[in-house]
Amino acid sequence: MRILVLALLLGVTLDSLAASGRVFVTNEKGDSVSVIDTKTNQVVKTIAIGKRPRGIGLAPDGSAIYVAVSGENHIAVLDPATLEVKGSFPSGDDPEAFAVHKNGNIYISNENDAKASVIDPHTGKLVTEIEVGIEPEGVAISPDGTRAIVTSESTNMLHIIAIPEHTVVNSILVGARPRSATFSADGKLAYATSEIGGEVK
Amino acid sequence: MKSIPTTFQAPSRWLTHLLIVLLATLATSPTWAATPVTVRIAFIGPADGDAHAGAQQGIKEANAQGKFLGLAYQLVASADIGAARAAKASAVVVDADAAALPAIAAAAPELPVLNVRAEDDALRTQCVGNLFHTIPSQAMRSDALAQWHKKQPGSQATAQAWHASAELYAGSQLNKRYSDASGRAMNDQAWAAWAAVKLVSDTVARLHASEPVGLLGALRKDLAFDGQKGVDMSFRDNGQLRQPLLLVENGKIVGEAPVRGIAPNSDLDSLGNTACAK
Repeated sequence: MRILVLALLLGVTLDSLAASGRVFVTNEKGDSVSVIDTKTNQVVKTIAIGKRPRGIGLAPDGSAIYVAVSGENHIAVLDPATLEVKGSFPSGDDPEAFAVHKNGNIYISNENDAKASVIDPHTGKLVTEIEVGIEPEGVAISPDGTRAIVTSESTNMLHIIAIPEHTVVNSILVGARPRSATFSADGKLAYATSEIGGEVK
Repeated sequence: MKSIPTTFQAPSRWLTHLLIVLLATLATSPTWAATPVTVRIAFIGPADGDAHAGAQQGIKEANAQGKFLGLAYQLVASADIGAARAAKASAVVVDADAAALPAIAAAAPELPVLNVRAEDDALRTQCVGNLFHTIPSQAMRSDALAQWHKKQPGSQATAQAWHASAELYAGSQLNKRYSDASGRAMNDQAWAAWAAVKLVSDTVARLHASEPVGLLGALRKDLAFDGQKGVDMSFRDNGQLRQPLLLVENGKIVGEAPVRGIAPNSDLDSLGNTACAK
């Protein structure tokens, strides 16, 4: 299930670039990233990436693909042209999902730490950490870049974080186990899946 | 505070994963008061038991949510129900034998009393209005095993509320949080006490009220608790928490009850009694 979701999300991201025609899928149990050519639907390369790769995302200028390597507490950087790993930087404990801000910064949920981390991938440095609820998972950034949402699965909340202040401005109770979150294109609505609660609000 | 969202039973776990929560606004929902409101949950029972450690874990997680809502939870060790009342507790978690429970519940009919140890079926069929049971009953365990034996004759499994190797539905994260904090492996009583505190704090958060009588009504009627076993849990009219049980053999989880294909629609009420004694 997770793999499918990641494939879909990233597929949309890459298609919007209308460039590579490739889908990148993290294999959580296989410690690798599969690269699929969307014209042939064939795996063109399997890249060894490290233990338990989970979230995946693209730099705003398309120059890098980031992979959260949960089992090794870092973000690996893939070169989308060469399909080689070109570096990595620390991410905080157990990185799961993340979103890339249009300014390039990466917003990561640290599942075991009840925190979200903000990292500048160009320096590899931690910009800040933000306390959120237990088992943070989904991360979304509003199209205008002024808000991030982090879901906390065991606290049943969506935490709304102001950017650039990086303060939690609101925490909204939702149905059980909120996981993925996303904004509508105009930024006025946000959606989150509730794995157990199954609700419409 | 917005009204409590309506939840419903979805046809399968994977389908519920796909269902969507729509948040109408992001900017205008009010945040609760800056000064935290203290919510006390009393604990009657041994301070060195697994149930106490589970309740403490529940308090820790309640506060992880409460800090965003202006709520601060405290576990108040209480010698008896009188002390719990005097402490202005919103609910009482009790780690005691069956014989002690009816008197505790009767002494404070306005307070939710949550049994985390006694498995006796008679406690359920008495249907005491303020007595809840998060620990599974004996009948739930025997029904779970009977279902399992239809599928796996000769199996030596036991039916448990929880197991330290549970991984699904973020069970592994709960096990890790608990063992890191307590140095113990989560067993049935620890899970039952964790669940008791957590379902009370979830309900307080959704009501934004901790007054016992309102809490009691909401626990009876409106509970949809995520006990990290993959389904929403609620209380039966007899006070028992509906829940799947884990089938454990040789220290490993081998199955789950209701047993798929044996219990019609995997109905949680296929485990144990639902009726009250006349």
